[in-house]
Amino acid sequence: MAQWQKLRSHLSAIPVLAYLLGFGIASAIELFIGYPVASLLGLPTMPTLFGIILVQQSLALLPSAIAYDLLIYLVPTYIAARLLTPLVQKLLQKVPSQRLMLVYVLALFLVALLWGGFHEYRTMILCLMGINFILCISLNLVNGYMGEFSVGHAGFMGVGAYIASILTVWVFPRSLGHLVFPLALLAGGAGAAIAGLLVAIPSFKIRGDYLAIITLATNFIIKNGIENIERIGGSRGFMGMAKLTNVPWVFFWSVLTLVLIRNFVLSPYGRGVIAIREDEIAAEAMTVNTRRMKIIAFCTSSFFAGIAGGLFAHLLLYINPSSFTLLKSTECLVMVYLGGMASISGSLVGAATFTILLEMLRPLEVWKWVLIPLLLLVMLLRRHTGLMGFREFQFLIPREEAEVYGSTSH
Amino acid sequence: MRKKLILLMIVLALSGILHSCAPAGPAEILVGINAEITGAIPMVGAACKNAAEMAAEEINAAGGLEIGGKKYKIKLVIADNENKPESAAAAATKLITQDKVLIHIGANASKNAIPASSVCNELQCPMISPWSTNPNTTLYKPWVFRACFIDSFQAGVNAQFGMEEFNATKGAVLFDIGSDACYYQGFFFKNTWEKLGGKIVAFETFTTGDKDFTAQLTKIKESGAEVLYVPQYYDEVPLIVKQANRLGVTEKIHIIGHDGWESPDLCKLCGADCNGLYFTTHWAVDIAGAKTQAFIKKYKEKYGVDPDSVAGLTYDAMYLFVQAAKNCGKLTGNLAQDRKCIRDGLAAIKDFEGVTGTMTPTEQGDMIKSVHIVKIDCDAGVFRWYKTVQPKTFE
Repeated sequence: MAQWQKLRSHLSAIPVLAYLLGFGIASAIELFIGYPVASLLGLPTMPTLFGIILVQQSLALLPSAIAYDLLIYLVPTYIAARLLTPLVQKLLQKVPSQRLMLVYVLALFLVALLWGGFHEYRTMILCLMGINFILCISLNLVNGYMGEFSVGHAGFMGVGAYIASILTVWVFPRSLGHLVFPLALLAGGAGAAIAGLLVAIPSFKIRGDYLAIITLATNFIIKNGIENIERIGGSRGFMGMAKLTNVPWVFFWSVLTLVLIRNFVLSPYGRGVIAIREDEIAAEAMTVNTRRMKIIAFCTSSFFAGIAGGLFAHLLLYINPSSFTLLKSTECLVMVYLGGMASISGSLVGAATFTILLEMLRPLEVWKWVLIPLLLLVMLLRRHTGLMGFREFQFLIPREEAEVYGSTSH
Repeated sequence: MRKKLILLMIVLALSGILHSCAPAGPAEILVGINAEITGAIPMVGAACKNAAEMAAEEINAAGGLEIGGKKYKIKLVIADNENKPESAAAAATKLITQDKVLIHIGANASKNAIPASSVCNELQCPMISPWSTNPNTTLYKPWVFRACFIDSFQAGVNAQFGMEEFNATKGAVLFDIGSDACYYQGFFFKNTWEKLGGKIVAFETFTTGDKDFTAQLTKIKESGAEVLYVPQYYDEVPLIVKQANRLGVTEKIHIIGHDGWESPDLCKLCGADCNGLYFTTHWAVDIAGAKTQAFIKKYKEKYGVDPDSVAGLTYDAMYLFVQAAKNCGKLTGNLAQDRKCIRDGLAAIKDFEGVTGTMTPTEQGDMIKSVHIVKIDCDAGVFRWYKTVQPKTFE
C-alpha cells in the first residue's frame, strides 16, 4: 500500500500539461510505428480505442492489447511527461494565469489532431464527442447553473441542424464550403435561440416540474413541425450537405462554447443565473433581473444546441426529424448528470466518457445497455452530483476561485 | 517496485509476441453487419443478424467461399447501430477503417442506412442495405446497393393492382406522416394512381403512435373512394382495419397494403377482420421455390420463429456478396482493390436467384425484382399467393 502511495505521489508530481503533451508525443509515435507494433503483437489491426473493442471480440488478445497500450501509450507518455516536466513547469510560471487556458487548449488540439486526425474512426468519435460536449455544456447552463429541468434540448439541436443545412444546400454557393460554414452555423444557432424563447417566456411564471413539461412539449412541437413541412422533406429527412464538419471545426466551436459559457457563469452578471437556482425570490430582491437572466440562459443554451445541430448535420450529411426526439434529449441529460451539474469540467468529462463508452462497448450489443446504466447507477450512488459536480479543473477557473470550486486536480 | 513493473511489462510484451507466432488459420474474409440490435426496432436487428449468421455458417460449412481457386472462410463482424443515425455512421466507419471488412451489409431502417451509405461511399467500401427502401440510400452513391425493391415500384404495383382488380377509379391513402417509408409509399401510390387515370379522393395522414383513426376513416368513407391503400406496419394495420370494419368503411372500399403487413403477428392481432385483404410482399410461401422453402424451414428450425422479410433480404444480401465475389474472380489482398472488385462484381450481377425473388441491380444500385401479391387468410393463419407482378417501372 505504501508503495502504491509512493507511485501515486510520484505520478501526481508531473503536471497535467506534461501528460497531455506526452500523450501527444505517444500518438505521434503511434502514427509511425503503430501498425508494425500491432502486427508484431499479433493484433489483427491497429487498436483504435486502446484495444478494448478487440478484447471484446476475442479475449485471447488481452495480453497483446495490454502490451500495445504499454508500449505505445503508457511508457512513451510517462517518459515524455517526465522529460518535459521541467520545461512545462517553467512555462506554467511564465504564462500569466489569464493565458493559461490558451496553453491547455493548444495542447489539447495538438493531441486531438495527432491521435485522431489521421484515422477515420477516431475522427468520427472525436467529432461526435465535440458535438456532445457542446450539447452537454449548453444544457448544463440551464439544468446545472440555473437549476431548471430542461428535457427538450434535442429540439433546439434540430432547429439548428435544419437551418444550417438549408443554408448550405440551398442558399450559399456550394463552392464556398468552409468559408460560409460558420455563417450557416451561426444562423442555425440564432434560429435555435429564437426557438428557445418558446421555453424562456413560459419560464417567467412556471418553475420546476411544470417547466420541464413545457420543454418536453417544445421538443415535440419542433419535431412534429419539421415533420409537417413538406418543403424540407418532412419525415423523409433532408440531405445534400457537403461534409464540412471536421476535427478543427468541432474543436473550434467546442472551445468557443466553453470559453463563452465559462466567462458567462464566472462574470458578476452571469452569477445571477446561479442566484436564480439558489433562490429566485431572494435573487429578485437582490436586484437580479430574473426575467432577463432566464431569457439569456435559455436562449444561450439553445443557441449552442443549434450550433451542435449544425455540426451534427454536416457530419452525417443527412438529418431526419426522428433524430431529434426525446431519446436524444435524454442522452444530453445523461451526459450532464454523469459529468456533473453546474460544472464545465463535468460537461467535458461527461461528454467524453459517454461518447467513448458507447463506442468502446459497441460489441456487447444488448449488454451494453445493461452495463452503462449500471455504471451510471453505481457512479451516482457514490457521487450523487456526478463525476465533477460543482467542481472544476484548476486550469478552467481563475486562481482566486479555486477555493469556491473545491478543485482538486490540476 | 519499479523492477516488478518492468518485469511485468516485459512478460506482457513477450506474451503478445508469442501470441502472434501462433499458426495462421485459413484465409478469412471479413463481412461487416451494421444492424439495429438495440433501440426501438430490435426485431429487425435480430432478424438481420440471424440471417447473416445462418448464411455465413452455410458457406463455411461448405468449405468456405471459393474465389479464384482459393477458399476463404467468412467471418462476420457485427456492429450494433442502436437505431440511431449517428451511431450507424460511426459503426460503418468502425467496420470499414478499423475492422477492415471487405463489404458492409446494413443498415436496415432508412434513417440509419442513409448516413451509413454516405460513409461507405466516401470511404469506398461496397455496401448492401437489405431493407432500406428510401431512394436516397443509393442515389448518386456508386458504392451502395440494396436487396429490396424501392418504394416507388411497390407502390406503383399496388396502384395498378387496385385499379385493375377492383375496376376502381377513386382511390384513398391513409399513412403515417412521421415515417419516411410510409410517406414515400403513400406519395408514390398517389402519383401512379393519378398517372393511370384515376383520382385520389382522400389523402389522410396520422402521426406515429396514433391509436384512433376514426376521423380519417370517416372522411375516407364519405369521399366515396373504392380502394384504400394503407402503407403501414403490422402493428398498426389491425387497429386501422378493425376500426374500418366497425365504421362500415370496408363494405364498399377494398383495403390493400404493402410488405410492412407481412408478419406472423398480423393474424394474431387482427384475426378474422383482416381476412380477404391483399398486400404486396417479397415472397409467398405457397408458390415459393425450393430455395425459399429450404431457407424458411432452416431458419425456423434454427431460431424458432418464421423468417420475416428482413431475414430473407439479409440472407439474399449475403449471397449477393458471394455472387459478386465470384464475378470478381480474384482477391489480391489489397483491400482497396478488392473492395473495388467486389463493387464491380455487384454491379455486374444479372438475374440473381435469391430467396426473395430474382433480381438485377440497376445502374443506381436499386434492385429490379418481381413483387408478389398475397391474400390474407387468418383462419388458416397464412398469406396465400394471388398474383406475381413482373418488374417494370412506373415512372
